[in-house]
Amino acid sequence: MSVDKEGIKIWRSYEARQSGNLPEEKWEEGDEFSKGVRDLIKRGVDANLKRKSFLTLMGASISMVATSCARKPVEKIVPYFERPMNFVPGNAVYYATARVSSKGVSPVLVKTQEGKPNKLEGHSGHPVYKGAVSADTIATIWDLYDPDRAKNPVKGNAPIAWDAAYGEIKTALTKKTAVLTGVSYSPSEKAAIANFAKKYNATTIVYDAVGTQRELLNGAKLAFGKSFIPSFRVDKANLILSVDADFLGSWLSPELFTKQFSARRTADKSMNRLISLESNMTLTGSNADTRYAINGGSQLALLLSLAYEVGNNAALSAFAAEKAEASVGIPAKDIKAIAAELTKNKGKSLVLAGSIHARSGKSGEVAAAAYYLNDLLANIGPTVDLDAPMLDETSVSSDSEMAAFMADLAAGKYETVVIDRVNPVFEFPEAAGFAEAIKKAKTVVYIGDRANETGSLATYLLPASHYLESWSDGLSYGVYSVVQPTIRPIADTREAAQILRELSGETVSSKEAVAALSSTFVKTGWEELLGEGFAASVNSVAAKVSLPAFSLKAPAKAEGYRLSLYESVQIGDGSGGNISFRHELPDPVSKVTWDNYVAVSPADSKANGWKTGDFLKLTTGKASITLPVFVQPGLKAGNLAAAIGYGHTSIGKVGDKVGKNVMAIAGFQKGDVVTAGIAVAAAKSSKEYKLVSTQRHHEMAIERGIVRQATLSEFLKNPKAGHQHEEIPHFGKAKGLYKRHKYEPHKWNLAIDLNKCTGCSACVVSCYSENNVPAVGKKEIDVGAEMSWLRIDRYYGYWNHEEEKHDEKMENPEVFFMPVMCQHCDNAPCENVCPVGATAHSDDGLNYMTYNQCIGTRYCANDCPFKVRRFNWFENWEGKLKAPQQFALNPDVTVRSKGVIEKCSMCQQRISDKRQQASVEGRELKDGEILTACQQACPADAITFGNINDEQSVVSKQAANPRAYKLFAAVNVESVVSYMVRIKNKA
Amino acid sequence: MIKTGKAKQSFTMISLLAWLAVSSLNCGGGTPDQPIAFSHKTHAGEYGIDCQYCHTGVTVSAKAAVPSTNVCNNCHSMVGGSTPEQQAEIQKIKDHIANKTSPEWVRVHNSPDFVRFSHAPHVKALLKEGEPTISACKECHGDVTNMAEIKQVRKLNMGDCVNCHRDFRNEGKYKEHGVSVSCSVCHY
Repeated sequence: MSVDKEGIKIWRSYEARQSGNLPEEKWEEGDEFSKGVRDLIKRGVDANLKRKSFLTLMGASISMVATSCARKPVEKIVPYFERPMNFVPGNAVYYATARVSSKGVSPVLVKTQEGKPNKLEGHSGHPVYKGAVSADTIATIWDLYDPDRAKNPVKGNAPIAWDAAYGEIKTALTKKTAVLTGVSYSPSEKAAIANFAKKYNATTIVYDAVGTQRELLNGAKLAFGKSFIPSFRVDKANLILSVDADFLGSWLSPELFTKQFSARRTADKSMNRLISLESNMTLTGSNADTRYAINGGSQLALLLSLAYEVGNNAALSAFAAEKAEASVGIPAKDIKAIAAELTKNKGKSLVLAGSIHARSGKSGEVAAAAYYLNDLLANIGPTVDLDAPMLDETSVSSDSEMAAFMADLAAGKYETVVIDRVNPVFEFPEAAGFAEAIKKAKTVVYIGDRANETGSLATYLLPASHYLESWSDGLSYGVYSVVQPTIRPIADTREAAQILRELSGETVSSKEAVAALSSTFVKTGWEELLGEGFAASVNSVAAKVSLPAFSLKAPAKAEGYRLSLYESVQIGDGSGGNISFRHELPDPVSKVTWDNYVAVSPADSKANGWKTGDFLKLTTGKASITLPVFVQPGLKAGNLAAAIGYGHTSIGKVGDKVGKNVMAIAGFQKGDVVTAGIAVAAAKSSKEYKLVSTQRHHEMAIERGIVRQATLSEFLKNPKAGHQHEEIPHFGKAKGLYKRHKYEPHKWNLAIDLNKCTGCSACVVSCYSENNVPAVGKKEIDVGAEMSWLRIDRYYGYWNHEEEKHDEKMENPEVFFMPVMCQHCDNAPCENVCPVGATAHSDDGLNYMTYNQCIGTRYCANDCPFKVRRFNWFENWEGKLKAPQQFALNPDVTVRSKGVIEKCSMCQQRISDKRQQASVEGRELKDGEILTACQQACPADAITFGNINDEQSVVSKQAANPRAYKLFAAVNVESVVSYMVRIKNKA
Repeated sequence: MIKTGKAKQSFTMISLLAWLAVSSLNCGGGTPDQPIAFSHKTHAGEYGIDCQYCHTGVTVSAKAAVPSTNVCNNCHSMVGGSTPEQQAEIQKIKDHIANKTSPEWVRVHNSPDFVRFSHAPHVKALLKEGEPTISACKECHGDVTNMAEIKQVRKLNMGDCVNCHRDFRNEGKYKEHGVSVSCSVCHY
């Protein structure tokens, strides 16, 4: 298997491949640039300003200048009365805290300036996470400043004082009460819930919106007899098999798994290997060395088939590869080959399974099958670590408890229902009938951050603080973390656990409650614990696997259409759906923004004439939903996929009515939610829909040699493998027009290792947050006016013609991710054409952009071969921010106004900050001292920034690596960003 | 570039205001009415108090920082002034101290939002070992020991900054400081 002479053929979208309308092939005139430019000019310039009147006004203002001295803007300085100790105005203060969510306990470092947090980073000192942070966690800074959050306790529609509300609620709690809550990683929150339930003799229902945690907890209960989530050591496995567990995208703690996975993408003999078997095209499948598309809902059959092939347990003989192949959709010989490979890697492999994407039967069976398979492979211990579990023993409501609760609720047996931060009206399948059943309860108390779908039905809304305003704690992976406030609550809110404690009649403050509990987990002193943010705590689970009792049904052949729901990287369970940046972030694979859709396989698209933008009506039983179609390579015929978390009706101005809530069609059987392999009838509707994907935005004119790839065996033989398309600028004779500059003492360079990059998009969100990059909305993205300084280009492709022919149905194309930002070319085409010198080169070798000099000709953007320059067509901030959103802006970076170009500055503010710090301390800058925002966020450690003049710097070594190459070297732009060939570990 | 959070204005008004804001920087020399007639001449001149007694951020931060009110109290818990005029002004700060509030000073040195200036590296480069801080500060702020009312003495516009950076750049001993005239030194 190798790249043929023509190199890897790549394309940006299914439609482009079908029409052959590709760069270098049949790119029509005008295809290079957004077709919406004319529209933008019309709306952005003509409507506001006629050229003539502009000149008149300029003339007037010049004449006014002479007499304008007295009109200086008046600004006040109000100093502190008493400045806090060690606080220096102008200098940032960092706090170590943690975000406790359905993704576990994510350690974060919070940058605060003048008492206000404005940027979140991973905590590099954390022994397990080592600085890993996800796009979703970085985006929680905007949740804090969301103007649609509840601001005070509410009864009905009127505000109510806390004490008055407590008094009334306490009376209601004496009646038959149920309390609904999510799976929690916080000991103090668990204690508060337990005390509350005990005091009021309340039924506790613990559920999980997405279902991944419930699946794994129930799976462990089946396999080990104990309900916990072990630690999956991706870093210790030589061979990882993922069965619809998108562990690089959204499964459990994806940022940590990305860190561990990428640590082993080393392009040498110790490199790991990933096999992904999945029914949708996910980040994990995109990064797999070997990927198979399988049928949705067949995960259990597949795992049992692998277990039979590995262990030959006669009880599972109905799942022999030959019998399972029709159900799973993979040839028996391939199932056997995977089983053989797993057997070969006994004790060094890892099987991951059990997610929303596999909830098709009894909860826990898929995860239990994976535990069983791991046990057969002797992985329990080495790669499935029970010593420091992700979640220690935690009860989650069983299917029978859920079913009984729903029946009792509907029958009006519960008079009072307390709901703690979960949103069942939105998250439960409509089939469960929660929205109707809850109306039977006399008093509904909702503890949460806003009047969302459930909160708006509640009698009392008690507003919960954001975690950056809270005292709490978290226990995960053997580390106890303290959640400490970084700002006083912005509105009249309290910690959710504190509300429960106060309702239970406890009088401790939230800080005291956490401090008291912390001493039972760690020996570290309180002050030290706050300084670090965490301390080691051992909580091991002694457990042995036995073959779980599966409800063994012989695998059935897959027929008809099957819909599987999934959790997207950007929106997740939907609770953060009121943040424009989450919607603006393109889906890592489909690049669709501001919508969910039904992903359709190329084969079904061809057979039925379903095209991207068509509407498809999906019906199962009485339920139906209409979703726009997106043709997604990588799906097997008959499989459909749609993301949960969209279609809010009451989350706020931004998130309401974006996409559709697919829980309308999910099943609810005997207390279990069914989200995988839902049998549906699909019919095209006559209407069309505008689905906006950035997959063909900023397409570059040459596609040869952009992404480079080689197999590990090839690379080990020939370190220059993958560079078949290296083109030497002007046959090595290029001189350039200008005399060469000397950049001293620093010349900044960036290196991006495509072998480590998974496309997770944490860098994109970090860049938005750090550099005050605005979100512009669906309509503007449609005309190509998105503002992101850093984009991740996604390409599909095949190694060679043979592969392409072999995969006619486009079930398994290669997927490439390439982060592209300003390449800071030494021979920058943009600099030559700027009529006012607003963009030029700095002494340290960067291409800078002086906003106040820019007059907005956009010549530079036109000349940029990488298409990284962004124009502010409209006023994106001024008059558009609603308090307190302005506090999320980074005060170290200029907020750009209408009419100027902007682009990646390589975080000039961070370079300046560290350079000035070094100069004040009278020392040289150290390598690795300056981190760009994208580099700091990258959980895969794919990005390196540093001084190329220093031969010892990491970036110099990266640039000298045989895998390094530069984009468009042939054009002689001499960019400073190096990319490194991706290596695939093929069997 | 233009401060956010104000009412929405048309592009023309904004450009007009920007033009005014930039151009008015050339003027300098304003002495706006301050809430308290604080005299640098008395404090820094007559009593010779070092700049850093109050402006503590100047060697470690971008901002020199106006002192917090309790710093005033260090002396003014005892010092009440000798003339009736002084006593009246000092009474104002005593009232603030009693009420735990701070006076709202009017900014005199005000660079536009698209200019980034940090005090610390400048003071580091200008302040010589063993010299009082004023020896470095006066380079830009003039002789405040003689200013009863603080005023801007230099233009502090772009030409002013660039000329100085250029002089330092060409002066041998400062070369290693990397004094640059790239736009990105101040604008980002």
